[in-house]
Amino acid sequence: MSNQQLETAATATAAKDRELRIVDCDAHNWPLPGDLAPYLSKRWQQYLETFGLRTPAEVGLVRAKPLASRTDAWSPNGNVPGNDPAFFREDLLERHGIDLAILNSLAMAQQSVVGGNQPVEFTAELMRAANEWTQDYFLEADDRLYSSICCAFEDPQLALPEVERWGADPRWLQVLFPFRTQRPIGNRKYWPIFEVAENHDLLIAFHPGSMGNNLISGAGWPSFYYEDHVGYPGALMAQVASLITEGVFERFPNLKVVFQEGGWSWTAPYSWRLDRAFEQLRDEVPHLRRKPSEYMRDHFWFTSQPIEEPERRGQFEEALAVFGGADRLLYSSDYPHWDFDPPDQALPKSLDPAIAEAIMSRNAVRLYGFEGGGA
Amino acid sequence: MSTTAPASPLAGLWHGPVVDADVHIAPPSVEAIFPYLDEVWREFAMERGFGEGTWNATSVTNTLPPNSPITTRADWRPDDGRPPASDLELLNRQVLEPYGTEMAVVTCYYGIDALRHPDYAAAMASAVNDWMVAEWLEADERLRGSLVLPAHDPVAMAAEIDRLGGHPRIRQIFLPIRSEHLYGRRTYLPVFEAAARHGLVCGLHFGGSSDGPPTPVGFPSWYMEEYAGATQLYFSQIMSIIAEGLLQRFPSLKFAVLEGGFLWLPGIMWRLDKEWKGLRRDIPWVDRPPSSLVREHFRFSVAPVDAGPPEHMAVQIDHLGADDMLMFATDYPHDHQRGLEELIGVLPQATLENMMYRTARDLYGD
Repeated sequence: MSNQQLETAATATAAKDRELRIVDCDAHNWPLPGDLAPYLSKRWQQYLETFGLRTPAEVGLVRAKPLASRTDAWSPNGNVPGNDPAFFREDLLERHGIDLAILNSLAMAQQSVVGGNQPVEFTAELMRAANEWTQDYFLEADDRLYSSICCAFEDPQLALPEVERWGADPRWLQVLFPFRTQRPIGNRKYWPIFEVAENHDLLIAFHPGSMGNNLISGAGWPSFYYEDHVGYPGALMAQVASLITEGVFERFPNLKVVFQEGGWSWTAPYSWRLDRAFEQLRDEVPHLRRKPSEYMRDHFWFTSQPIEEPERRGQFEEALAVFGGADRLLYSSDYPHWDFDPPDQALPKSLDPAIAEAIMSRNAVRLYGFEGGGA
Repeated sequence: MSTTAPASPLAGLWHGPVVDADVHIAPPSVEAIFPYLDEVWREFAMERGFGEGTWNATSVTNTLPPNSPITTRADWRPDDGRPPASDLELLNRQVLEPYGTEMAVVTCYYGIDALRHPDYAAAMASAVNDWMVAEWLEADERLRGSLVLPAHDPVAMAAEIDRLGGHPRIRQIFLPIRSEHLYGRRTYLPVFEAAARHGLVCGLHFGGSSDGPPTPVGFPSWYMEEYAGATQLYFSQIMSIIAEGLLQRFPSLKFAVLEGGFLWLPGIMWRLDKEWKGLRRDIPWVDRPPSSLVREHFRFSVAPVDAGPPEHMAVQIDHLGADDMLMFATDYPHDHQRGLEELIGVLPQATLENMMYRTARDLYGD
C-alpha cells in the first residue's frame, strides 16, 4: 500500500487495534448466480438466463458433504453457507469472538472449476459482480470484514482492471488464485497481475480450487476426495518451484504470497530439495541471486487450517522450529467448510501462549498492515 | 578388474556391509540388446534411431537432460565416449569395489515407458530385461534386477512380470512415478497381483511418461523446477496406493521409493492421518492410520538426501517414527551422493545400520 493508503487503513482500524485478538485469514462468503445477476451487463445477464452456469469439471470427485460445508452453516432461512451476510457475521464473528476476517469468495470457484468451459469475458463479469456483491453486502455492512479480489486471472488483460479497481482500497488485501492454475503460476503470462499487485501492496493468495484444464496430480486423477484434500501441498510444491525458478521474486522483490489450507510442515524439507537442486543446476537459472530457501523464507506465509496434528506431544513445536518459527503462520477458520477450525481449537493446547498469540492475530496484523505500519 | 582399489567413499562414515538399493545400468548401444529382440523390432530400432547413443534413450524420452550435472557424475562419465553405466567392469570399479557393496539392485530404465506402440514397447522391455539377466545378473552374483515394463499396458506389464518374475535374481518391478494413471487405481490390479504372486518389490522411481504435464499446474519451464517438483508425484503415488486399498488387497506388497527423498515425509504422514480421521468413510478399507501403512509397506532410498541443516534433519528423521525406513543407495551414475555424510552424522546407530544394509537386505535378499 502507498503511504496515503496506509494512513487510511490506520484511521479505519486504529480504534480497535488493541482488540485484534483473533484474525481469521480464510473465511468464505458465497454468492449464488441470482446474487450476481443484477451486477452483470445486459449481455451476460442474458447469457446467464439462457444457458446458466455449467457444473464443475470435477463434480465426479465426490465431496465429504454438500458444498463441502458444515450442516449447521446453512442459515435459518435456508441460504447456502456464506450467502446470508447477517447469519455469516453471527455464526462466525459473534459466535467465535473473531475480531477481523478476510473473505475469500467462493465465487472464485465459479471460474476455476469450470476451467475452459466458459467464455473468459463471462468469467471476468462474474468476478467483477462477485467483488461488488462482497463490497455491498459484507464490507459495507461490517468493518470487521476484509476481502480478497476475484479476477479472471487466466486472462490478465481482463483481470487487470478488476485488480486495479480494488487495489487502492485498504479493505481489499490480496489477489485470489486457486492452487491449480492453467500454467505454473511463475509463468510470465501472470506477471502483469503481479506487477499491479506489487504496486498496490496487494498480496497474492492461493486457495484450494481447481482448473478444469489440468489434472490433480502429475500422474492423473485420484479416485477419492480424500486424495484431493490431502494432496493440496502437491500443487503448492509445483507453484513454489515455479515462483522461485522463474525469478518472480527478482522481478517483484516486494511480492508476498499466502498459501491457504496447504499445510506448512512440508515446506522446509522441500526448500532443502530446491536448494540442493539449485547447487547442481544453477547454470540453468543464473537469474536467481539467492538460494530457494531464502526466497521461501522472505516471500511466503501460510494459513493454519487444517492445522498439523503430529503424533506425539512436542512434535508440533519441533516442526515449527524446522519451519523457521511461527512468524509466517496465520490463523484461519475456513468457515463454513466441514473441516472448520474454531479459534479455541485451532492450535495445540501445549503451545507457548506468545506463539499462539502471534499466530492468532499478530502475524496477520503485521503482514496486512492492519495497524497501519505493516511488517 | 582394477588393480589399485580406490579409497572407500564411505571411509570414516561406515565400516560394515553395504547394500545399494538403486543402481542404473544402460546398454552401450541399442545393438547390445539386439540378440534379445526379434528381427522386426531390430529393424524398428535401427530405422528409427532408438537410443541415438545416449545412455537414457533420449530419442524417446526427455526425462533427464543428457548433459546435466545431476544426470551423470563427472568422474563417472567414461572419457572414451561410451555411455555412462554401460559396462559391468566400470560398475565394479566405480561403485561395487570402492563401496564394498555386497548387493546392488540394478535397473535399466532406457526410456521404455515412453514408447506408445504397444507391441514395440513390450518387445523392447523384454529385450532389456533379458539383456540385464544374461549380461549383468548372471555375470555378477552381487546384482539383483529390477524389471522394466511396458508402462501403458497393464496386461502386458503383468505378462512380463510373469515371464521373468520367477528368476531368482529378479527382485523388483520398476514403476516410473509419471504413470498414465495413479498406481493405486484399479487399472493396475493385474500388475500388482503379478508382483505379489512373485514376491517382487515395487520400485517407484523418478521418470516416466504420463498423459499430461508432470505437475498439477501444467508444464514447467525449467528442469530444476520439474526435478525438484517431483516430490509431488511421489506423494501422490503413495497416497493413491494407500487410499485405494491396494495394501489391504495385497498385504505382502512392499514399495521402494527411489530417488524421491524422504525428509518431506513426516508432515505428509500427519496430513494423511488427519484427513483420514475426517474422510475415512469414503475409504473404509483403510482400517489403520495411513502413517502405519507407510511405515510398514514403504522404504525410501537416501540418494538424493536433499539435506538440510543437521539439527533440522535430525528432527525429520525422528519424526519418521521408525528406524527401518531408509536404504542406502548411490543412484549411480547420477550425482546424488551429496549430503550422505551430513545424514549419517545425525542418524541413531540402529537407523544407520538398517539404512546401510539390513532394510535392503531384508527387502531384496534371497
